[in-house]
Amino acid sequence: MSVSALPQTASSGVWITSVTHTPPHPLDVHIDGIRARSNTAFAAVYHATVDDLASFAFAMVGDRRTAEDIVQQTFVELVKAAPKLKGDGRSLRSWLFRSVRFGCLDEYRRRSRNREVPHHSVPDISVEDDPLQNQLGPELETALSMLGSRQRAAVLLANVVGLTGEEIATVLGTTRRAAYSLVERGESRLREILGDDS
Amino acid sequence: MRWREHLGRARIEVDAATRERHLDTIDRVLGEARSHRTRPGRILAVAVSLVLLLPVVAFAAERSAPGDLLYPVRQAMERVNIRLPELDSASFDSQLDEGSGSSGTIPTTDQRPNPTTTTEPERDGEGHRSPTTSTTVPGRTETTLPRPPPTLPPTTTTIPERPPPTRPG
Repeated sequence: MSVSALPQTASSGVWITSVTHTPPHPLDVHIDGIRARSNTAFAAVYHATVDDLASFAFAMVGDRRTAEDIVQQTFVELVKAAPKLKGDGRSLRSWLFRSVRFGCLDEYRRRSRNREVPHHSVPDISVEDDPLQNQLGPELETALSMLGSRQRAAVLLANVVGLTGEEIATVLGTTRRAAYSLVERGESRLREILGDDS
Repeated sequence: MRWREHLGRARIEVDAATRERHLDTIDRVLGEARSHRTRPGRILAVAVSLVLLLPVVAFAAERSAPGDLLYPVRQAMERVNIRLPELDSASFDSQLDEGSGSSGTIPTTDQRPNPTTTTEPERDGEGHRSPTTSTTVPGRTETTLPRPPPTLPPTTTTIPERPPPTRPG
């Protein structure tokens, strides 16, 4: 809850105190349990965020299995960082996306170090489901690869996960204005490559 | 296909088996994290336990008899108690040796006789002073310091003999 005092009129000198209520985040109720390393709290937060985190990671690295491993590693890191965690449920959600993004950047570095063929072009024969569901399409993968790392993350956080500009700014460690700018430029670039559907 | 449709394909749902596997891993890591203390915390815990335990063990060992579990502790404590006075007397002797070892040096303040102390003369039964007793006057202490005689190096001067004068003629 934030309280801001605004002057009504200069002549009267009466001040109106406007109170803006920030709606509670669904993860707020688990934040104490996370700090206390409670199994129940970790399970609840995992179920509440795993699809969003996995979708973001999948769009970033282009491979479902790798994306799920990155999400798992993120929760393992959360176990270590839990006692020092600050803030509320929003902060926790941002922390998780930030950790997933760092995991994806590590994956980029690992691939470039090994100079291997990009993962999305190798069919994963161990997956029993439809292989097309486990890979990004080559068209989308090519289009996303033309964006910078931060621009790509900003576009995916906004359009795949549905984060707000402020949340994207927190995840990327930048200002809200810069986050909006990254999203807009990235979307216009994708429109150019994939076609406009507006 | 437009760009929003493309991005919509990136949306996935994690299946139940994968969720189960992930939660098992998280539970295992949580269990390890709870049972594993930090290193400084463990060192501090051991140090505090030792400090608290030591007096209790010493107290119990003092009453132990041969054959008891703590009897070796009692023996060790007694050995330490015996050695401590030995160390003190040894250091005292060494200090004494240092103080009186070299002749010709002025003794330290501690070793000088205190001039202000007056020895009480012995009195006989009637209260007369004994003629053999002496009183030291304050401020007039005679200190004889043994000094080594000055040893000068022997000087030998050799005067060359003059030849007898020779008279001409």
